[in-house]
Amino acid sequence: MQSVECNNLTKRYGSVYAVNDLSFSIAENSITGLIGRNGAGKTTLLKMLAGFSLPTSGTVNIFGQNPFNNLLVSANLIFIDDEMVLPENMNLGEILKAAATFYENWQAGLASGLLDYFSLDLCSYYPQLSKGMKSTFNMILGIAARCPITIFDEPTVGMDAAVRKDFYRALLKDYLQQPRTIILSSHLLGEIEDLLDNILLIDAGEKRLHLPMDELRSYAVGLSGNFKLLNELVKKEDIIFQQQLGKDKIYLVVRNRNIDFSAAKLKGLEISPVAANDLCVYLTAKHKGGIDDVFKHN
Amino acid sequence: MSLSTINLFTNVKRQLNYKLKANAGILFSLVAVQLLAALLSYNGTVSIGWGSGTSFISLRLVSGDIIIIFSLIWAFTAGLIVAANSQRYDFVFVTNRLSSNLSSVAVLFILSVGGGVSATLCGILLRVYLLLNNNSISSTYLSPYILLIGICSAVLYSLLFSAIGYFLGILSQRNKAYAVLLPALFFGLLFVEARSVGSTRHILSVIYFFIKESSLLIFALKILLAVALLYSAVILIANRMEVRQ
Repeated sequence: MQSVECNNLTKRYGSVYAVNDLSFSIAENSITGLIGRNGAGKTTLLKMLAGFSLPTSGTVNIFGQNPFNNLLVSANLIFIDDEMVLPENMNLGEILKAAATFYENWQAGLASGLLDYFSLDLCSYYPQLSKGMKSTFNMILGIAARCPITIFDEPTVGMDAAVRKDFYRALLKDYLQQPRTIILSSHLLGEIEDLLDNILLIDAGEKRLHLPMDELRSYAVGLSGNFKLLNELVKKEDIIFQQQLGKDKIYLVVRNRNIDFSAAKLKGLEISPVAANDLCVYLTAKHKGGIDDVFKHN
Repeated sequence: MSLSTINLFTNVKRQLNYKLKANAGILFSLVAVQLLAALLSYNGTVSIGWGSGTSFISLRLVSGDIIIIFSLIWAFTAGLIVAANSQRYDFVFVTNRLSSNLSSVAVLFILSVGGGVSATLCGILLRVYLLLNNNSISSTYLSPYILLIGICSAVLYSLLFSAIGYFLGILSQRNKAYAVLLPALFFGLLFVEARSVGSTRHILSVIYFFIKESSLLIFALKILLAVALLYSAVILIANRMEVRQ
């Protein structure tokens, strides 16, 4: 069953298309990473999924229903981001108690365990927390609510490396106990790639890729070696990225379809896998040569 | 994973609980406002003195009017604050626009009853204080019937003022320009109409429509109708509103 379905989804602010003609669906009980650069439209997309904002055109379906102004969807979907505003005169304990009344699957034990582990004090107040602690508390809300759809929009803002690692581990462990549909947006794919089943890469509001993680890993291949030899080999291929390494030497990232690897090896070219994170960066780059292009022209 | 089912009424109850806690600060401000008003009222709103030769009479009129007026201003701000808070706090947890607004109405209803009752009782506190601390003759008797009418009308006025505040609050969430335009329009028209003698005065006639009503029952009907109109308008306006922008 599909939990999330979008058809030709578009959101326009003035003349800017924040999300442009996006169609995809997300299967039930899977973890999807929504990856994109700053301003790619991740948050805009997620807010439409959560029913906070209306699409300019196209449709969103959550459990087969329109999420906008929908109580059933709201009861089964939690949206966690760093702009959440929680009451300033309720302490963390009271906020958790309030959350418990709203969510049927709320895990009170888990919430207090996590709060304790991350040394958050039940009696402290949300506005007094540091940025990282706020994110940690939000994350605890998101995990303990155990909603059939759990959306995290940049959940690790401000968290230190140790807390980030713990967060991903907590998320995975809880997911294994109670599988559900989780959407995780981030621009740091490297950190979350082990967690993900699928990846949805968007760029300038448009879908670039929607693949299972395994396929992404073999999506492209890196080749380096002599400029002329390489160019001959990949003449018909999709070049995703290129970088000058030396006078004659060049590094290319090429779509992995029908490259003759044995021929490449014979010619002395180096073949290397491309990290998922790098690949996403290359795929969403505006220039094939990356930042180098800027210096070439100046 | 099976979906949780939910009905509107249950959710409104949950939200009411949550929002009463989240908006508790408004109740504390009520206490502060009424104490301040009582303090200001103590010296009297009107005082007249006259005398000739050896005798001198001074008349000081002390009333709870200031407390009521302050409480109504408080009710108006309470409406504004609840409107702003409901946009920020409600959409963290389970809600839709309708249940968010209904729970706000319930919160404002409870606050208005609290504000209206305490404002009237605060007036009594003033009388008791005068009785105990004044050597002069003071008229402090208040019949229970008059007191009841006082409480009812204070509660009704609070309901109206909080509804106006909430309406403006939600409207200005929709577009910030309303926050400036509507008060400007109201006061502007008020001044223009006050100057134009003879011609029709819309705002004044609206105000008279409420304050010149001598029957409590009809007054209550008028207020409740106006409040219902305001909240229905809010629910209609908010229904397509985007949140957490």
